[in-house]
Amino acid sequence: MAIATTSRPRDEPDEADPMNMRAKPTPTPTESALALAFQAAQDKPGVPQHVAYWRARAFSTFSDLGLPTKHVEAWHYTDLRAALAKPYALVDGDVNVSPEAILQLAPRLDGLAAIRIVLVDGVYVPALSDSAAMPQGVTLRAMDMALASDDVALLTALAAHGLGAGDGPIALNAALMHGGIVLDVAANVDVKTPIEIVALATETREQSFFSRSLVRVGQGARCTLVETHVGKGAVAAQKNDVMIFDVADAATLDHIVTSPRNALGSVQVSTLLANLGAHSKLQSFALVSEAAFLRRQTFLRFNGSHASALLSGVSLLSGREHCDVTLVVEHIAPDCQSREIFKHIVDDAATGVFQGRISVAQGAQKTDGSMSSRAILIGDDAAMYNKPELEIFADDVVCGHGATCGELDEDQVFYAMSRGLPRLVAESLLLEAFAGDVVDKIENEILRDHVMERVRTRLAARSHA
Amino acid sequence: MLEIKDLHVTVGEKPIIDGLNLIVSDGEVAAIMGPNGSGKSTLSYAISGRAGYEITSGSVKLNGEEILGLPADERAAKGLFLAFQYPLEIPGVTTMTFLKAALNSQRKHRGDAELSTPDFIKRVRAAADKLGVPQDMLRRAFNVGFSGGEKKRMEVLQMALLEPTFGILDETDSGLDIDALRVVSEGVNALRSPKRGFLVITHYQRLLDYIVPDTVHVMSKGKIVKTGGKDLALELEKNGYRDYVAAA
Ligand SMILES: Nc1ncnc2c1ncn2[C@@H]1O[C@H](COP(=O)(O)OP(=O)(O)OP(=O)(O)O)[C@@H](O)[C@H]1O
Ligand SMILES: [Mg+2]
Repeated sequence: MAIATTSRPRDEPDEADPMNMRAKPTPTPTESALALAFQAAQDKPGVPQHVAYWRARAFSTFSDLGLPTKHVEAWHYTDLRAALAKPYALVDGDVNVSPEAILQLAPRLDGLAAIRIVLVDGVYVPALSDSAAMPQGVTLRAMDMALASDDVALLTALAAHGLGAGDGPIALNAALMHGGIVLDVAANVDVKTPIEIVALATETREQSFFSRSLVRVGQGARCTLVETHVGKGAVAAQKNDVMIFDVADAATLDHIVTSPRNALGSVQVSTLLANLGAHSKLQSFALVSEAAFLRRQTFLRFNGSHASALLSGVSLLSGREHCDVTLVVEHIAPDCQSREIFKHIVDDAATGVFQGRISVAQGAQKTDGSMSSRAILIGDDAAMYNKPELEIFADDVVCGHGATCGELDEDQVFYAMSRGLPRLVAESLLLEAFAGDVVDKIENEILRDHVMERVRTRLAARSHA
Repeated sequence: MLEIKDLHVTVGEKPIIDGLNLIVSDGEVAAIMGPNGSGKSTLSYAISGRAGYEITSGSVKLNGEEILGLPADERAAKGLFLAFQYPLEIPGVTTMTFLKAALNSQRKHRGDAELSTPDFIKRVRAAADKLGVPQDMLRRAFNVGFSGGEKKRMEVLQMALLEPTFGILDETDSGLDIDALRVVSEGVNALRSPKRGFLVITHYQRLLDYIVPDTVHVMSKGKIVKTGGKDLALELEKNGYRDYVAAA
């Protein structure tokens, strides 16, 4: 069962083709369909010229790269081209969703009193959102509205100052993005109430969607952002969502994202692009559960000194699920601290992937970076690929990484069983503790309990399977 | 009542228990003594259902019912309890959570309603007080960082809480200081009843001064080689095992 690799030989085709002269492969049906969809979107009236130009550039980048295969190093363990073999139509039209349907799929958390922003198939729906309740200093705009304005700086922000450039799916998202929001927190505003983005997939038929949102936390401001992705898991979808954070100097952003329940056959690429200013602080926790086939990629850059980031997450995989957690953390400013802590529980014949790279530029002295990825394989055919990397060009840094991949401790399981716990209950208790260690990093108690409850429920489902 | 008949156990192909016979009646406290490596812990694990302890033949009946072949949790639910020679640590799970999961799992298995949290806490507190286990230990991760003696107390606390019909104590005295030995022994004695049997594995006569056994068995090379009353322990203390080891 357990396959754990920390390094792998370079791809042969690349070696055989050092000049990268390989002819571009013929587009797959999905790539062709995407090209047509792009043309149709460009031809729609009302797209401002600078946006159309920006999208065209993005699509041309994507066309050059194509959908990544395992020959693209960064996508080695997740062959997106193969996963997206079947083209799905782009999402369109208005689907009416009742407030009750939202509450049923994403109940409001007791005591959290979050301000909700509801996106239906990626599109902001003011009528379903607490649009009138935005706190002082918080500005919310639908992405389409923001793009239609002459806010030219917006495009630079939407390009995340170059983060993730060179990634095909991110470029594709820029070309095709539809919906999303722009949320701005003004300087020095302390947003006491958490803001929750509820992103609902209606799943009326097989479709693909591309949404991009931008959250800018102004200098010295503070904000807690919850991203709750929900779906019934009824119909397969192809999702490509990008979230961009611009955390200004001395600002603090606390982010908790929970993956949706995706139907079997769904393919999702979720990207987080984060730029951090000096003395800023970002904490981002991701829970992945019942996500079918998911790539969660985070690109983070420390642009100013004395900033800190904690990226953490728990992935619960079962069946034939696939979850690829990929991180690229770039230290270009000195005196910053980054922590990456991920745990994966891989059951049945599921596959977990963790690829993490901390890169420290020459000028980023006194960088303190550490990364850990730990997996427990419980399924007989479960697999985990762990690939943490450090790339250090500065000489005065403290960086480390660790990756482990193991099984449950049978002695502990027996001990618990000898006290009367049935095997599955004993295993759940131990797995809960394993995951809980990371969930505990969530500062907001209500959110922490909520995430832990989801972990518990998911693990308990094993005993009823 | 525990009845072991012609038990053979191998561990990793190596025969360890070699045709062992033993009966411990309700209300009886039987002590087992024997040299290191004679198979005492192996016997206790085999009775409790630990994986890797292969029963090649024989039978173990608890209260008249065959338990070999049952998973460990079902044996526990039927009233078996083993106080481990080396208790395990469970990081990330508080002692309270662990104890509650154990008690409620057993109740559920027997068809009893789960205990409410306040009722449960009341019971644990009472048991902890009797055994001198401080309340703050109950909030810590189970056994993590507990001293050797504290872990042993925690074993007896669990036994008191789970109220088994048969308890096996594997060297519960080792690691206990003089006062703790008395407290823990009192805890065990408080559980003695006409309906409950005990198998007490020990190397030292001293424990048997506190928990006075009805019978004493000498184990050597995977067999019971001598059975007697409590005076047998005194004799062993004086002469060692040489008379019996040769006999095996
Ligand atoms: N996994 C194993 N593989 C091989 N031999 C084992 C294994 N586990 C135990 N043994 C052997 O079985 C024998 C009995 O061990 P056991 O722990 O039951 O002895 P014991 O009577 O409890 O000793 P002590 O008094 O030291 O606690 C020993 O020789 C031990 O080395
Ligand atoms: Mg032993």
